[in-house]
Amino acid sequence: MKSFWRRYSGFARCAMEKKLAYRNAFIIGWMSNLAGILVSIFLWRVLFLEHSSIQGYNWDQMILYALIVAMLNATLSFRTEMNLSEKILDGSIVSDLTKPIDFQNMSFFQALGESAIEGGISICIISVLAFLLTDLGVYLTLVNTLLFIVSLILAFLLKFCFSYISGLICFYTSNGYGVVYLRQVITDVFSGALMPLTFFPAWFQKLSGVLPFQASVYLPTQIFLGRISDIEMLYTLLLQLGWVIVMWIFAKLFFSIAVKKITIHGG
Amino acid sequence: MRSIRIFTQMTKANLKALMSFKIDFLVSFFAGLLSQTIGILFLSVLFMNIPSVAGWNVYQIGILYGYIFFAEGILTLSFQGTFGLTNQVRNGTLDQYLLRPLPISTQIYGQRTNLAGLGTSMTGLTVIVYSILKLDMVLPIWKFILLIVSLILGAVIRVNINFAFNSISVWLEGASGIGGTVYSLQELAKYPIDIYPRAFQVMLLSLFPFAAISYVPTAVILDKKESLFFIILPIVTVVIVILRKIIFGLALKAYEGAGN
Repeated sequence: MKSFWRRYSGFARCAMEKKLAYRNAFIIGWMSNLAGILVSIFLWRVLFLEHSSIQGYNWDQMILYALIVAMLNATLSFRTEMNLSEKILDGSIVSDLTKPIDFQNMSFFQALGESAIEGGISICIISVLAFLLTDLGVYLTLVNTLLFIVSLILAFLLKFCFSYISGLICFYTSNGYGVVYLRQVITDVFSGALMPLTFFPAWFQKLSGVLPFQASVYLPTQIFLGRISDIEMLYTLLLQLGWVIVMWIFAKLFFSIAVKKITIHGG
Repeated sequence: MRSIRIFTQMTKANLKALMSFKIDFLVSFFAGLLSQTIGILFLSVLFMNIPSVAGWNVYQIGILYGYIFFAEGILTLSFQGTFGLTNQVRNGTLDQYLLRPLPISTQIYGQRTNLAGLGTSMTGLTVIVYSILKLDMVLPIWKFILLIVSLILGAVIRVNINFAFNSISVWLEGASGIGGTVYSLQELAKYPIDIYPRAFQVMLLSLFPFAAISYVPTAVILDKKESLFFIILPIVTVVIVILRKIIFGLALKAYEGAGN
């Protein structure tokens, strides 16, 4: 265990330093997220002037939902995924493959390092907004917060798997952006990032219930908003954990098949 | 006139280069279509749960979406070079344009062609036409002309906003992201600006005039504002073109080049 940590923590540290070196770019990038957040704040504000609750959400819950989604979206960003696809497309992945390490673990620790910075900044901005706009304190009970953190960690692992798998698809196509776009549409819609899943028609809710994506966004938000009863809580967390294990193993298998596509010239 | 000829030539060359990768050609076209689906999905799912936003129904807001998509599509399709300005300043490659006896802005405009833009602007047009049909509106001829004119002026505004704010990056030593931040402000103009505080409304009609692209013509076409309100659109167009010229001129003076 100790040697495992020693072997991989360097990748996380390295990615973190790289991210810190470009922190201004990240903060400016964050301002673009703010525009999206502003739109939803004003949109919901107008709607909640006319309705006291929409689909069982009141103002506080709706805004907290939107803010948690924004935080999750900003952590483990688009960039992480593009890094992997660029590595595959320009062939520099070869130098990683010659190292005596597991490629998936390495990618995970790199993503972890980057996300530590992204997540740190995002949590600060989001907390301030949440504090200003909502009655945040009500939701921050000790048990609730701890459960939320556990759920966030599982959601992060799952998000990594999705990005990693879509990055690997670049072994088969040369259009990295196209793949990432498609992945984004799928995860945004089915994970609940677009809107709480209960806003969708019933057939869609059934469908997204059996897919893994809701475990990466929707379930953590429901835990934070206290919309999951004590009895269901264990089931919810186990469901998340189950999907993490399934997707992690699937990614491993997919890599071992996809990596055979590499053609190495010369040598 | 010469500028237009040069621009057409550059675009032709770009298209030839794109055509040589046929699959990628198609993939980017569909990526353009796809990139707007999230926005449209959001709108339709939202309106499954509520009847209207500030008195606007789903098709009326659809027209706002359509205008923004169309202008963005034209920008991506033919004028993507304006995004590259930041990189060119950082890498010093802007030098090559300064040396040629051609208008510099034309060279920047024609630098890249991206078919994803065609998908985006076609989505925009489709959304507008579909919304108007669904609203059971019969457009009198003057409104039809107004629609066409506002689509063109909207695209002109969009390209010039992008160009102006990317020019500013010269002073920021190539710090990218400013363009992206401004770009994201267009999200605000996908909804009737009545939902924002007064300061935001003014900002969206002046400093970042995205609402001039979508809200101004739509409000007039839907009779939510008097027809005189439309005058804002040509005024904004003229002002932004002049401002862009001034900013870009100053930026070129400030540009230090790649050295030697």
